[in-house]
Amino acid sequence: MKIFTIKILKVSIVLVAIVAFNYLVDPFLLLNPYKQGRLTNLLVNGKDIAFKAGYNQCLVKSNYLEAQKTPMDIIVLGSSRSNQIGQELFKGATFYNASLYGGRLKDMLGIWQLIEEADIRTETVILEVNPHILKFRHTRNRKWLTKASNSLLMQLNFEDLTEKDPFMERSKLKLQGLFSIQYGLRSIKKNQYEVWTKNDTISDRVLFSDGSERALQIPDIEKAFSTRYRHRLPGLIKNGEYQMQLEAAEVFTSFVEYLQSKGKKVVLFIPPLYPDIYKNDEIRRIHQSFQDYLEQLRNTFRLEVIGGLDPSAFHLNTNDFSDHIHFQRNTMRKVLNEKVESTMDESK
Amino acid sequence: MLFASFEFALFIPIVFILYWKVFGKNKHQQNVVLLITSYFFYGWWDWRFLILIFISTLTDYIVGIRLDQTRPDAIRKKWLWLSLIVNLGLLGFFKYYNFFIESTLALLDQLGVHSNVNTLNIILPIGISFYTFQTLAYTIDVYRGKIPAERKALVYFTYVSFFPQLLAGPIERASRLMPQFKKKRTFDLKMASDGMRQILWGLFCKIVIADTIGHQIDGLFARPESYSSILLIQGILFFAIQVYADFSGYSHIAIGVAKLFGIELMDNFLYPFFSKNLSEFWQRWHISLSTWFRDYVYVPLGGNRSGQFRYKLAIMVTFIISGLWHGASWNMVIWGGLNGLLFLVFFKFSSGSNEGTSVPKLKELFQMALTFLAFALPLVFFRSGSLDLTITYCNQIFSFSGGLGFINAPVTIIVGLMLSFEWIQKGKKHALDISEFPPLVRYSVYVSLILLISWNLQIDNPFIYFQF
Repeated sequence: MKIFTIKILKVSIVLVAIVAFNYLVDPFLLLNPYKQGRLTNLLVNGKDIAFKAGYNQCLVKSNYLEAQKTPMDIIVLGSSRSNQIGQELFKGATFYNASLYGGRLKDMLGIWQLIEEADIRTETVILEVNPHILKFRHTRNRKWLTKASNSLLMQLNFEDLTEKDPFMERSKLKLQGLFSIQYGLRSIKKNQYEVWTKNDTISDRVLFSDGSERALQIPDIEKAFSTRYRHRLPGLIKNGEYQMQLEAAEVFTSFVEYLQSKGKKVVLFIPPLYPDIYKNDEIRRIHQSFQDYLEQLRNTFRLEVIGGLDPSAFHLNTNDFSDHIHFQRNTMRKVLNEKVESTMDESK
Repeated sequence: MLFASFEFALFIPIVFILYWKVFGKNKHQQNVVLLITSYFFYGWWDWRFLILIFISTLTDYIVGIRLDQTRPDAIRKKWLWLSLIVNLGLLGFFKYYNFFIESTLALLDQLGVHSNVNTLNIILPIGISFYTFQTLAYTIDVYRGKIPAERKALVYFTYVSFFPQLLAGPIERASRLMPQFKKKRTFDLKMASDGMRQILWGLFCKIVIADTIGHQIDGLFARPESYSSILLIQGILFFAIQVYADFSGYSHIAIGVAKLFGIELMDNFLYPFFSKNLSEFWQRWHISLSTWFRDYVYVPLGGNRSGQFRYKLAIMVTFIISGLWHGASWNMVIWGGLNGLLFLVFFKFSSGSNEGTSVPKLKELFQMALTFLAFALPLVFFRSGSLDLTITYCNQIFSFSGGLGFINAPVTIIVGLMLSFEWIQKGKKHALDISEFPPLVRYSVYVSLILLISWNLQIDNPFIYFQF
């Protein structure tokens, strides 16, 4: 038995080395609470931080919100389609973009709950809304927001939609990070930074976590409506990717009502679709129910709406998009231009 | 609890210490540890599943004793029927109820009779297809007088629930496994070390080969209309390798874990892709199930002793039932039927074994490739899940559209490496049986495999065979 144990230990040295390396570099801030806290402090103190692509944005924003106490005039909740709504569009107002990559309704609820728990005072809430947001099915499991989103769902009387806190899944994710070589190697890949600043998502010059300040290299993003996505589109439509979920729409309505009852000004943001996608007959047919819902929502709560599904309404063409979903940085100004001033004025 | 999971990585050392160090004094204590931990292991999925395995085990335990005590054949038959009804009833209800209801309603609908019977929202209890077959084999063997009934409940319950083979086999025979629980196990360094090697090889097959291929081809089967013909053909071939790596990987881990506890399980896969004909292939593929069907379905149907017609019928029925065992759908029935047909057409395409040859001859390569194709192509029914998707998949292949496209090179290389390693080791019980290699080579292989596993670590990918 002793010899067997020694043999196992010998082979385990490799595993110990992998674990030690991953813990030290921890590119997505999964494993090292001290590092998480240090970076959160930097953000709270107004510094900008660059993270490796694929970092756990959800965890970072959760940590940040828990530590943040400054009032914000405007807060944005949504998905990566809202990431380009930046501070510069709201000059003079304090602003925080709390949107998340792959974010959906429950993420918005979770983030808002954290904002309330952190007692961050705010005047205006910009809510992204589209059929992708109005869905419970998740491509990414938000293992860090379940507790918070459950809490708000309970307040909104949707107990049946709460989920078990995925403690085990979170722990597994951390263990996976500890034992996977790919995890640690992320930290030495070049040009894969995503940057999050105190108020915004992207900045030109940033303070890196190692303390150096240098120009950011944003990787080239695939332009135009790729052949691959065009091929995938029928499958995505079939899988309901462009379909809103009625139950989610009910929750969203309650959320809007809840925010208004708390005295917040709610603005809906509808990101325009990529031109080729908007022209797709099947998608237009599917989106009709969303348009009807939106109309009803707007009339019931007298909401201000910025954006819209039709890209031609804002004179957008394919060059205004960085891929088949997301805008270029300066495109957001075209979409928001007319509305920003009024939103900002009222926020003040 | 999945074998390739962190829970299991924690579970195993705890059971190991309890088994050898804390309660290792005698066979009773060892069996108690195995029984309790096996029920814990199974209940981890859903504690309600424990009720089913308990009912199945208790029924066959009592039936076995009654069969032993009863002489008149008519009464013995009744006891046997009781076991068949309970086991096949559980299996039929949980696995096939919805399938039969839906099929019957569809048939009645075609005949113009409209009826309204609801299907049920039933969860398939994991492993039920495996342990019911294991307990059934025991009862039938006792009925046939091949083995005596086991009177010690602890031994019998441990035999049925032994956790390494509980969820997906190997489907062990009582005559092989039960005697091992009747004596005290002593720790055997050689056996335990070999078990660890086999576990490592199993994890490599599952995590590095099967899961990686899965990521590559899942999209092909979900939306075949979006991909080129060439890519779809590769999808089927790679799926054959995925199923092999997934299930043989599981079996290797199961056998390896059992060895850690001094228990020897039967071999379940013996390099099936090096078979030169389908007969040889099915003797090397999922051996515990193939032999189960041979002994309890094919032979009772007459086997090859009752003329050509009965023989062909027995083959077809056996393969179709085997297909249905793999899944409650018409796709699986067709898959089984196709395998039966191909078996009859290509039976004894070649004879002889290539176990001794180090470099295969061109003719042998051709035979192996043909056997592989005969196994792989029907898998499109197995993987697609529905007839509609199968038809779409095949239509897209025969549209000859989309130009060239290839499964990514690293996957192809790693599959090539695995098969090459298996070829070199094909005389051994498992590919990582390298105990006679120099220590430096041995440890280099271990480290390389660990690094590859770590590189591909994606937890919570369930084994394909769990759904059966």
